[in-house]
Amino acid sequence: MSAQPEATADSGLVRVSSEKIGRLMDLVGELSLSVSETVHSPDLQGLDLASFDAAVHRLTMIVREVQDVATELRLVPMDDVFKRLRRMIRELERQTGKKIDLVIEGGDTAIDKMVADKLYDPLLHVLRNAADHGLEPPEERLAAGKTDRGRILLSAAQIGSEVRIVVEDDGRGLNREKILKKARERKFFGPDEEPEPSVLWRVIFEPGFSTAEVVSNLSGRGVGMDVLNATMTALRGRIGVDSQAGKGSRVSLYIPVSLAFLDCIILRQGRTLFAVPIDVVSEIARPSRDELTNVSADDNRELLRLRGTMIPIVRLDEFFNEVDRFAPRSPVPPILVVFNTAMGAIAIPVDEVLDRQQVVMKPLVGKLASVRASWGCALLGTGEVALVLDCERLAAGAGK
Amino acid sequence: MTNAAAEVNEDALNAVTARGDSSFSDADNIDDMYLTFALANEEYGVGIGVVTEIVGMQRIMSVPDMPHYVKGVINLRGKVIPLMDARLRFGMAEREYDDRTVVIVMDVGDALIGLIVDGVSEVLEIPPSQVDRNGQFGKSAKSVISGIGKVGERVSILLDTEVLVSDSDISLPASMT
Repeated sequence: MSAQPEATADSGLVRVSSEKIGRLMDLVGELSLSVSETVHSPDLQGLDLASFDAAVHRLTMIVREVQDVATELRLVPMDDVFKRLRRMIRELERQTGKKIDLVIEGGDTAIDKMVADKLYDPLLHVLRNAADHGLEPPEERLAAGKTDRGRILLSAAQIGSEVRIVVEDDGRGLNREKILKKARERKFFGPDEEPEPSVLWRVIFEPGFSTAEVVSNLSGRGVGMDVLNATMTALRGRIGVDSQAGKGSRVSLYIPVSLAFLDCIILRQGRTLFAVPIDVVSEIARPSRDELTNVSADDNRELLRLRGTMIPIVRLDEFFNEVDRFAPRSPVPPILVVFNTAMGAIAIPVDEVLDRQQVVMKPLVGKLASVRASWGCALLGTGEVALVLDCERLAAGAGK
Repeated sequence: MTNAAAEVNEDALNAVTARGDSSFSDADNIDDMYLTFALANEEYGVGIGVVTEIVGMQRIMSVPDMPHYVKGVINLRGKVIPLMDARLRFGMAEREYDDRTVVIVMDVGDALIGLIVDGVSEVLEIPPSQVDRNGQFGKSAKSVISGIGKVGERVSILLDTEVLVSDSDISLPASMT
């Protein structure tokens, strides 16, 4: 009976301004903070509160659900972005005289509206690169034994708490020689160094490393792939590039679904608290002394041997220049947290692993903007502030 | 002693929170208002326009990659605010925080920053005619001192908050350290 009026209501959609949703998100953040502040109140220490604990459990569950629902409010399908890109491809077909089939997959993948809005420009750039520099003109394609129509795949899929967006073309692929030559000129690699493909491709995202000069002579737009790099850093995303000569290239972007909340593990090192997004933590180890090696020849680097692989150890106090790395070290703290990064695994010694928490992120502004290797501040339920580590930059910085 | 200090603090606080009132509503007037505070036996002042609130000492959480005079951050009702120790900023001797120590929260360049001082004194109105802006203190463009305010027998060293929160080295004339 009640289904009748619902069916006639105009499809049940309400237009809401994104500011209102933003305000709601902020409030939900404050709410979840206040709840955990209350729950972790020092006044409750040592009290035996059986029914209170049960109520807290329920309250926490509800807050978590409200958080999820509020986050969902701002989710839009990737199609919103893809549709605009499709128009651009037709435009490019006209400009370049190439024939392009754009295949879109996973357009219904949900993503934060704020993320989607920021993704258009960098995706446009990747797509333009694929069409302009990746795909060959029809004659060249036929000569290479391909069909005359170039194919670009644009796909989105949710993988865990991340959305993976792939732009794949079946063009000529990246030119290893030219990129390597240019990268050596820019001193990214030594004259005799032969970097792994995945390492080499990453240089095309370096600021000022124009792909137009490198891959082909076709016109560039004056903006390098570093536009993409900057956006991805702001969105806490990662970029992967894969390419095979003559077969094509694939650029994959990994972006968190939502920017507001972050599932983190809280670590303590010395007097500082750090938070690390849960998906980069691969394991927590308690190594014995003989699993640790020191390499004086390589900047006095320490290595952790974990099931046969050697993982470089990055001490946070050395990274942040709080102690001299050549000074005699205290023994490695008992706990090592291993992070997965694009540069390979790194191990971070910590004094204590505290908790797993959903944290509210605050950007680092003003004086705090100079903190390196951090996404922002995380407000913890206890009212404390932890620094959210950007493990990619931690790994990159430690390599120097 | 402590009581008196607390009262002064409260007065200063009231003056700050009351600046929206009619008595201070004149914009020109606010430009001449300074919140004065003590560092050792010197008196300093910051324009009241940048001061958002005055809070007691909070639990400081350390943050890496900061200059030595930034002691860490506090969580003030969900806002993460870095704290700068004014004594360390000016190269003065460090002093343990006590119950008179307060944090002056300022909004400078669109970001909040807290200044740890020995204690706040009061809000003074110092018209431009009583502010000495030349002399040895104005010689470099980067000076943290915007002028010396004189009210009767009292002298307040007025600070340029932009320079104060910047990363530039500030050196006070030897006579003042």
